[in-house]
Amino acid sequence: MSGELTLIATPHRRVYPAMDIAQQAYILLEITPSANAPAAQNQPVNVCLVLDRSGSMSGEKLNAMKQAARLVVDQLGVQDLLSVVIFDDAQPAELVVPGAPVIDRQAIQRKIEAIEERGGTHMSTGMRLGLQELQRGRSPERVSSMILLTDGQTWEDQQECRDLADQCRAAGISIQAFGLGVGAENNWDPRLLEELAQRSGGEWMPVESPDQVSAAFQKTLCAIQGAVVANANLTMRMVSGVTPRAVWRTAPLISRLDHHAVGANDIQVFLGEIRQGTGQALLADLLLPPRAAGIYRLIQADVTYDVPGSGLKGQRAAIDVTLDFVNDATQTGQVDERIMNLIEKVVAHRLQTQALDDAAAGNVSRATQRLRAAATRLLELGEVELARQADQQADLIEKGGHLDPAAAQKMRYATKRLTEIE
Amino acid sequence: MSVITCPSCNTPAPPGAVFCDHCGYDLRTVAPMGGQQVPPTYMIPSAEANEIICPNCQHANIAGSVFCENCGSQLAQAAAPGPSGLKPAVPAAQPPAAAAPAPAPAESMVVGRLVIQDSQVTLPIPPGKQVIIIGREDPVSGVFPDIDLDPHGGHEAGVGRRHAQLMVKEGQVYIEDLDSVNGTAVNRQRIAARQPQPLKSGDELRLGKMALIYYSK
Repeated sequence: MSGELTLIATPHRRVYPAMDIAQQAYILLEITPSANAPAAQNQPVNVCLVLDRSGSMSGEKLNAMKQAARLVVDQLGVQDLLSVVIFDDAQPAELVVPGAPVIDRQAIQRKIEAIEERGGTHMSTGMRLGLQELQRGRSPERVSSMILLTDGQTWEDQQECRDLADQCRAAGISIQAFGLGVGAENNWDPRLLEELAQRSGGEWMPVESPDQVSAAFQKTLCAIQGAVVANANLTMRMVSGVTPRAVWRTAPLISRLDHHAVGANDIQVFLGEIRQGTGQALLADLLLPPRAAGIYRLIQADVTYDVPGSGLKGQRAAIDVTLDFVNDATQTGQVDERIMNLIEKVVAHRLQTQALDDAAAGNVSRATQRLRAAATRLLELGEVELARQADQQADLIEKGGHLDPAAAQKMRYATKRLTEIE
Repeated sequence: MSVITCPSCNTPAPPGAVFCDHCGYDLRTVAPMGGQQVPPTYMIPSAEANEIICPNCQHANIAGSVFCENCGSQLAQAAAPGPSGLKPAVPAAQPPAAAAPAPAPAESMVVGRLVIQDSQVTLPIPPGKQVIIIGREDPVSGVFPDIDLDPHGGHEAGVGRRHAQLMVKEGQVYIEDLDSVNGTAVNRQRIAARQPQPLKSGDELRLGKMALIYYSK
């Protein structure tokens, strides 16, 4: 154990009632770089830009995308690997810049400058080529990540995109997905981008207008370069009877994370990179088995990771989660206010996301009901503007059966930021 | 030393085991070998702890739930045993957007002023409101607090966009920290987030590093 990470586990109650039936519990797991972790500001990276060059990108969007890509080149050096892939609906996608150390910046920028728009959107071809390039350059010394930008709905290859995101996770590569423009017809699908990020341990966000692409790429690149550890994988080993219901990331942003079973009682969650500053916080929603009074270690959590820069592989940090079950009912009312606040935010995010899914599936009454419930939660949280938006969309769908498409794209992301630190 | 038996699930555990492999029970509390083992007991009978019915939507939630799975309402069971539960009952200050608030009696309005200690600038409390949000205006995220500290160095001092709020309950003015990053203090005592504290004229408030004096007139 080399101590780059510090793990803290906090249950949502100080003590739990001893019961002969199952009960729900939340455990907050905070994973932060240790004080003595090497300062991470300029970690060597292995980055592939996978960019949409379809016809709808023409003009301002294409120029903004090229400008953003050129700025990425400026931020990288000889220790980094960069590749650039562009895709439309032609097979295969085009490798504009093959993965190599960034030595001659101008030569790379000239190749980016020459990109022209054409065709439709078939995202999986771009992702596949991008993954190949990233895999060639993959090593524990570098943080590997795919930066994906699209403005359109990909045609008939959503499943291939999802499969590729799974392959990225297996290779320890996160996807940072950006949807450019909001509200236009045949626009990018926020659900698909969310899923790609979720499956690969990455993040997604809408970029509302072309002039914001550069800033979005810069922020993401800084986050990747600021990773203290990469390829982080959480394993939760639970005693028989503990059932995981969901695992949420609450910092840096709220995301539901995929967990998959390994062995009878264990689950694994891919976390991707863990950065200086915020680290990652996870909220595990669990069902606890019946327990009599006593102290129990119900979960052992460990995180394995690589340390870029030093090239250390498979490092490990671990913590025991012990819970105290008591018979005294007067003690069990005490909840951890900080965790309750996080749960409340996750609940608001979940309700709103479900409502958007309901709306997309044409379930008007369910969507209306959930949007109103989300609005109530958001108001309680003091998020007046978000609450107003949810209420407005509830009115809209109730009357016309449809949401405003721009609002739907923005709202899916907006509640992810409820836990964001200013 | 010999094998011990977990009193909770009767699984044998090797000597020196700290937790039972099967059920997770803390075996350090178990007397090794021969010691009298009192089986632990349950207290809460399942009848009263079974499901939690949401008062808002009647959805049946599993035991221990803190928010309704269906509608998100906070379930009463989660309320901390405090003076008045988890959340202050803000007097209908934030009704669902549609309902027009009924005119409130004058005694439930927040009145007075805040004086910034460093610059001695007086910030009047806008009249006619039951809740006054103190923070920093941020048009990008649509946050417009009633008292904006941004022009007074609020950002540098660590004031959040929605940092704290003033409100009146039964004639008493309260300050409540809105889960701010840098915290709120009354007379140099940090207050817990989301728990309103009574405030009297002349009290010093600190939002982040910014000190203000509250005067009721």
